[in-house]
Amino acid sequence: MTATIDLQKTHAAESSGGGFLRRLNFGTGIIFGVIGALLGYFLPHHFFDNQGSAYADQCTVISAVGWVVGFWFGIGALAGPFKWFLGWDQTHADEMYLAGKNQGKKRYWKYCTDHKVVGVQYLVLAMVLLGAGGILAMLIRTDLISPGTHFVNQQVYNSFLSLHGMLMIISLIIAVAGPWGNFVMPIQCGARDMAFPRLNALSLWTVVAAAVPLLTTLFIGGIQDGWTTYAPISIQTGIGMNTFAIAIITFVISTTVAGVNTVCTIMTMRTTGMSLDRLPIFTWASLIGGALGLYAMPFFATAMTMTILDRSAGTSFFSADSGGTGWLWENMFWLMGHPEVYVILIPAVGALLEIATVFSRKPLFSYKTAIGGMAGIAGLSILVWAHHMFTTGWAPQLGGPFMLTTELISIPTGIIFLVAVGTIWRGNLWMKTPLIWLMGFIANFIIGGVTGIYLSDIPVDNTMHGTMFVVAHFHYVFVGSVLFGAIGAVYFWFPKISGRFLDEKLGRISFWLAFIGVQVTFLAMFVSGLRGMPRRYASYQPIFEHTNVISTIGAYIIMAGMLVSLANIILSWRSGEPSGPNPWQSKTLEWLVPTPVPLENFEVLPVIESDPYTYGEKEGAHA
Amino acid sequence: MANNNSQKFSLKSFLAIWAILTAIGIWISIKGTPWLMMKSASHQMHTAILTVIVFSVAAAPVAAGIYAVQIYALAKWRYKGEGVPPDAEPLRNNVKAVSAWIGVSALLTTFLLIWGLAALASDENVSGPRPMTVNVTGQQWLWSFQYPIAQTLLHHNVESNVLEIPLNNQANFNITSVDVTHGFWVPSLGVKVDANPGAITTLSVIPNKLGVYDIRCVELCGLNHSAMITKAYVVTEKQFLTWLKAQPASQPVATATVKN
Amino acid sequence: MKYGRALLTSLLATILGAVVIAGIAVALAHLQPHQNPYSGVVGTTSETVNGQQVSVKHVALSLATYPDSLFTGQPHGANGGAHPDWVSYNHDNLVVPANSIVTITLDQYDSGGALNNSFFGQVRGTLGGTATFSTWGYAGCDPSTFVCTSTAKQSLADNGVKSTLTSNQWPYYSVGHTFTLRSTGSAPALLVSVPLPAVYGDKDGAFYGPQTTPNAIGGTYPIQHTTVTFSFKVKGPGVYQWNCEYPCGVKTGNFGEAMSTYGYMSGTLTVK
Repeated sequence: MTATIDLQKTHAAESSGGGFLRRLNFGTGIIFGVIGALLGYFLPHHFFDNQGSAYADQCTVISAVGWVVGFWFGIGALAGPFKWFLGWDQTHADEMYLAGKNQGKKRYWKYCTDHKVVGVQYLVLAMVLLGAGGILAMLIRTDLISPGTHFVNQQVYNSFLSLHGMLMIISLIIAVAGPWGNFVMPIQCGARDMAFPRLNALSLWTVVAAAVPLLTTLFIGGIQDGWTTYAPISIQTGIGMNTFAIAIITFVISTTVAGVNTVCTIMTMRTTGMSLDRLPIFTWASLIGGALGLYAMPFFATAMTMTILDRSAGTSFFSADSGGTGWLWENMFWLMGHPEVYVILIPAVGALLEIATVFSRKPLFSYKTAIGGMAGIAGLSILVWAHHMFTTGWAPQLGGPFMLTTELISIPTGIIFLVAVGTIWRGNLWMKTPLIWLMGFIANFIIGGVTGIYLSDIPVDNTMHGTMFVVAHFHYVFVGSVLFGAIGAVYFWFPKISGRFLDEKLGRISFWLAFIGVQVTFLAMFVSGLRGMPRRYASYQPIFEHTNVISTIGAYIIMAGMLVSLANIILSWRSGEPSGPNPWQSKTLEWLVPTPVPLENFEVLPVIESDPYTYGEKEGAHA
Repeated sequence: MANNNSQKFSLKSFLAIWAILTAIGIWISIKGTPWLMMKSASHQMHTAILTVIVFSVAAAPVAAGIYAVQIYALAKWRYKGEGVPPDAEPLRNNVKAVSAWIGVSALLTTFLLIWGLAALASDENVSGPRPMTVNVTGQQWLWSFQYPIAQTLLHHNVESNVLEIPLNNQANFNITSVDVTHGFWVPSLGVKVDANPGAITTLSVIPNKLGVYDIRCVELCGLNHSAMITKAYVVTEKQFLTWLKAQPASQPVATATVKN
Repeated sequence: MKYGRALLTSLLATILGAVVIAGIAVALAHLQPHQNPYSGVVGTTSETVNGQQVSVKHVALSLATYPDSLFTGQPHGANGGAHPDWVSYNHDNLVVPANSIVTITLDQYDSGGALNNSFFGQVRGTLGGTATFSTWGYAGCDPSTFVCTSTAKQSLADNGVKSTLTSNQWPYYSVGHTFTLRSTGSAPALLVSVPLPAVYGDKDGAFYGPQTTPNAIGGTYPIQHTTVTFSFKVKGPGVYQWNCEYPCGVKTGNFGEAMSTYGYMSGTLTVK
């Protein structure tokens, strides 16, 4: 196969179809969103009393909802239900228009149902949110370079750490499941598209809609309660809490829509012969992660709704002097919060295991055990939430049972290591950047996982909860493990979406900066925590200065590593070395279609006769 | 693609790497832990430090094993040629390895769990002489301590912004908040529990070392969260009584609720 | 890409990132809500050390607490700033020299009620352990029974009685605000807390007597306000956080809005 990069040069015949959707795009989304926000802000003047502290909250909430609905309207998300309601059928030309046919680069700014376009949009969005969260991280670490506050006071600092946390959580939820769960997964199933193409576009643009109120929070006074927005301080803090809450509810709409789409696609749209035991491991990971998200994320939206009601409508779910309790918030939050970290982790693990097979030239080790491990993590994660509440004083008699369930999770987690190690065992290791990021993941995940075990033990948790030790633990897992997996996935699949390689040398420089940076930053942070430094402190006692200086230096090293990969992506998109459609000689279906991938993926839907891990096996040896 | 069986495995070299890494891990666990963690002034803190040592020692061979595989793989199994490497020998499964792995991790988990439950039980069974109650109030942004024993001994209320408790006597804390959730933590005593509005959480501890220790808030409570730091003084009984008598008489505990 | 070019690209990307961060940091420093440091009047006084009279620096700070933000001068600017209806101190960024005695004279113009923690009814950390309370409408307070006798009159013309009391506490049920100062841990330990008596009002909360003090932007405050004077010693350099501990805000614990925002009921004391 020759390596041609076939850009959409020909806009063949005049594209018909689309109707008013031809005029709608990201720009009109913003315009109508702003109109909705303004309407939402000023309309309540007529209906509500301008008395009391709830008034500003009511206006802010309705304004944020106005933004979301306006944005949906302006981007064309409501066109489908609108047309259905009026009885207007989509013509074939309409559907082709929606899929972005013959629109060139413009389709990336529009409500496009092609899962491949949605995948690339998710990649850009994830990088933007990661960048915003990263800037906040650097501001936080810079301010922590010495005791006392410097260029921000504690009020601003609290807002920064809250938004940093939420932005990073959102970007990690979408970092692997977004670009690759959309672009790669349907092709891996042998499908032409996802089960619900319009919902696909909706899930992406809804995250964009959610990101705006989230960032707005910083500019209307911020919030003082962390990304975990514990009640009752979430009821006390400023009006920024309302935009934050609406952003979360909006985001959960997106994850729910995406989860439904993912699960339905995998369960119903696999091609002939693609039985569940021949499915690539990344698709399995998407299925498990998507299903887990469907269970977990709605708790977050419900809890935020209760926060909004407590602030704006005088309810008292969380206010102690009216019979409520902050423990209710904490339970609901962590019912979401713990499974959610596995929603983040499992797709990254799936991508890394794909990389392991391709770059060891070996089948996945113990395929069924791998799936059992991922499913076991997901299932157990539903039962462990109160290990975040060991020191809250809530239900101390449940401490033992939650210790049990939490420590049990180490067994399926160990299975993940087993499968990864077994896959590279005696492989022919092809030392390309995707494999290097996998190696970094394994090294960091050990530290992240073991430190989690300390925290799961209540006597030890009594010394470490709420300290920088916890922060270092979850950064080892989120940055050192998940982010390394997400970046490895980019280096792996970049040739598929662009027809070019990411530069190997820049990739290695990026890896080593990131890897060394993670060790420097977060090992020192473990020490800060062990010595007694609490988290979320804008200014700390002088005894913590040394370890904080080291962590700050490490943060700049991580920043350098991230920027080098960003530069790599920007430079390689246009002038990277051409790769051809299957440069890694992988056997999963996405690599067997041309690059760029045709609109409907396959000329003829393939018939599957074995799993995609037949490296080293004779034809038909493993069916 | 042709099978390539040249990826050999030398158990001896692998075990050597594993042994060295395990030894380093165990050494760090035993020597590093007490050096890194805060000095203990109670049984609970001592239990915590011991648990960290034990868990680290147990984790050391596991972590060392994974790192040893990585080092060995990167040293011995790299493909050194150009282009796409040939396929390797397809190891689909190894039932013995999988069973052993799961079995060992289950055993380790059971051990960690039993240890943890035992440590938890011993921490909760605090029973010491002359138990004394201190009422702790967390408030944005100051801790205040009220000593009911002053009413008994001196017939007036004593409140202070520092915690003063006598050595080797049981101290019982009733902890609450008047606004948002705070986290009451005395690092050297190894005890921590949230101060929740509308609820009273309790802690018991027997301090076994004289000294001055920090008390810090560990639950983000707004603007001056990082300023909610005060001191705990573990003193002799005589010093405690001297201190108590020197405190000015405080107003009776407020029964008024928040002004609306 | 050759290694040289890759390294150069990496270096440029890193420098660009660092410059962006530095730029944002500098911009934020300029946007800090509380600028305008207030150092009061600096002089000297003497204190007794080991039986000897020793000269020591002295700082006199004039603070005030108002029921809204419509008073002249900074920190809120024209028309009371973004929240004209929020209670406020008149300064939030206090700067004093190290090893000095600080005397604060605080005019308290607001009504009040009961503290939610009687701890703050006590005077703590001041020289002598006391503060001097000048109030209108109280004939005096009995420190052993915590009962205050009111002599509030209908108007100033009725010659409301002003009384002055030096005490180590003020009844917790009649407090307007507090001045509570503590170390952040990065400064030498210091706790100063003084309750500020409420201005006496009638049962509907209206102040007695003429309510105007000369004011350029529309706030009206009682002439018969309370004044509290106290002194404390600061030692080495560091930053202290102070805030009011009377729940005069809104929302949870009545500690929201003004109580949770720098520049209103919360600020810093920097010892240089």
